[in-house]
Amino acid sequence: MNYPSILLSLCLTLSTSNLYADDHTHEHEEHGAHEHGAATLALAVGEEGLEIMLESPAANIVGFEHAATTDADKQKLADAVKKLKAGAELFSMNTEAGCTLKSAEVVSALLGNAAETANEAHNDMDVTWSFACTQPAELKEVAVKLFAAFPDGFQHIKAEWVTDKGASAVELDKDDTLKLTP
Amino acid sequence: MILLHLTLRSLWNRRASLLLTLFSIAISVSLLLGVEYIRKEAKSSFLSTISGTDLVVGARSGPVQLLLYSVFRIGNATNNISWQSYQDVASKPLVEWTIPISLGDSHQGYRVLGTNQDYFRYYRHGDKRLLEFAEGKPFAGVFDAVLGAEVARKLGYQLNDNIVIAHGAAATRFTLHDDKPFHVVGILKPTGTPIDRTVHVSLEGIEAIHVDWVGGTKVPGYQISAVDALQKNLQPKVITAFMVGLKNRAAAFRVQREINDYQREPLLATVPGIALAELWQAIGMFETVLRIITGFVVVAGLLGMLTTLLSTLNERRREMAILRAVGAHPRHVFLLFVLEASVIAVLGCLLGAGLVFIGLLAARPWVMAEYGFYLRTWIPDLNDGLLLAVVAVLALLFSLIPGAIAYRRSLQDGLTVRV
Repeated sequence: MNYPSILLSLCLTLSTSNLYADDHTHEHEEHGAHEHGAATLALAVGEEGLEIMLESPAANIVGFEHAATTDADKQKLADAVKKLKAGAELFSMNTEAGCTLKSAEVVSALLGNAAETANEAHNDMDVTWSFACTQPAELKEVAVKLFAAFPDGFQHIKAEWVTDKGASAVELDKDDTLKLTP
Repeated sequence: MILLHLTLRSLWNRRASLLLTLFSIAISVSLLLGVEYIRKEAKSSFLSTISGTDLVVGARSGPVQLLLYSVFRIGNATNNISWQSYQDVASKPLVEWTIPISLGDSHQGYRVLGTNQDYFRYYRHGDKRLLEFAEGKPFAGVFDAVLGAEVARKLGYQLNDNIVIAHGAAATRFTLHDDKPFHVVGILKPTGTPIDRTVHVSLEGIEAIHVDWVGGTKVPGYQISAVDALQKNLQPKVITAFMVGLKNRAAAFRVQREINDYQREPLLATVPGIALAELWQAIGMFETVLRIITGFVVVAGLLGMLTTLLSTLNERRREMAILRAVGAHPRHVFLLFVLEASVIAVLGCLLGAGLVFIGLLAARPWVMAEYGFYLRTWIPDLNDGLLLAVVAVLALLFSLIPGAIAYRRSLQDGLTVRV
């Protein structure tokens, strides 16, 4: 890597990190952060089981963020939703916990089921998976396989979790197993 | 066995220079272990400052900043939040308890925290421990104050003393709330957290000392006495932040999202553990740098040992020749050096570990008195054991060099070596 390209990549890093800071708010308007390639994954372990929430720009999952008008786009969207709903393929827990996928919900302006409509340039896709666990206290590890499932989308995912024992967070840049310890 | 005996005798013969080598290794090892200890202790001390609190809510800034000023009293709030917003969140069905916090004033360099009795009922630290009183009880009146352990000890306060709070961080004559002194009703037990360095008063108290202030200064000729102030409406209009306990911790993210989407005011809710993890990721780089430096110090110590072994090679040619003459095989000569280095390295590791252990024991009373921080006894864990093993293996590898040289020479040299 030569000198100018190092400088360039440094500038890019700096500018992308600025995107994080871009969620300032006025009195009544919200402008959520929206960085392609990045996503937030929140895992909450409760008495009934595990709830996983993914907040991501739609581009990470579908490849585009405009309203799907062509047949090809609609097909891509349907494929992506199908992939997302198969939550057991995207996450796996240690077997002692006895977790099974109960429900998966995909909310996005692209699907027309979000609060806002899909006329903005950028649209998010929020997914909630609920796993029912027979032994939630035994839940120690969750393997995340989102990078393999959407190889062209995610660059890094910020994974946060809360359990009875505590809470913590880790930055993922490839598929990995989360150890749910504080 | 006889080789080990020979090694020990040979080492003893050169004890002066080897003792110095041993010390240099011991010191580098103790530095390595000490840095690891501090790293772990700092992290667990941060983690133990707040426990059982599901969310911390303040004005919108960054999660780390919010946590630092609200829990660790580091830095300042960018903004305050309205009492109304606080009430709106506190009345959410999933919220079990809340603790309001109002910061900004100080007493002789210690922060003054305005809160309510829920602070003593719900705030937990360490292993979910509530605050305990060494003396007295929580504040009940508007001008009551509860002192952290360090505040009471350093400033020599006792129950029923009166203290004057300064406006802001300054303590000049003009910025003292000297017309409305506070009455010490309680002193907390030491916690090893920033609570020890905090003066706790009621939110109404904070409000009362500011009733006759306009724009952050006293108004000449306009004074409301402490008694009259009690008649005023002391309901605060703004607070700095608040802590939230939920009925069900699993709902933390849902409530966090609701608070972050609150429309009337830009609020920020953060899960303390997650903000701490972010902080740790940010300073993780410095940890790595520190570890690399200590790694090099250990290598330098071992190089010192190598230098000592190499420099004595020439002097010991005759020793080796005699050993060969009495029937030692060249590989015995080689082993002699490896054993020597191993003995030094192992002794160095043990001595280093001992230094850390004794050093921490010796420093404990002083650190407790000076910083209110309890140094736990150093008990080596698996990680420390691995580090020591790495040091020993490195020493072994280093010793292969003089060993190989001695091996080769012992084949060439006869008994008539001229040294």
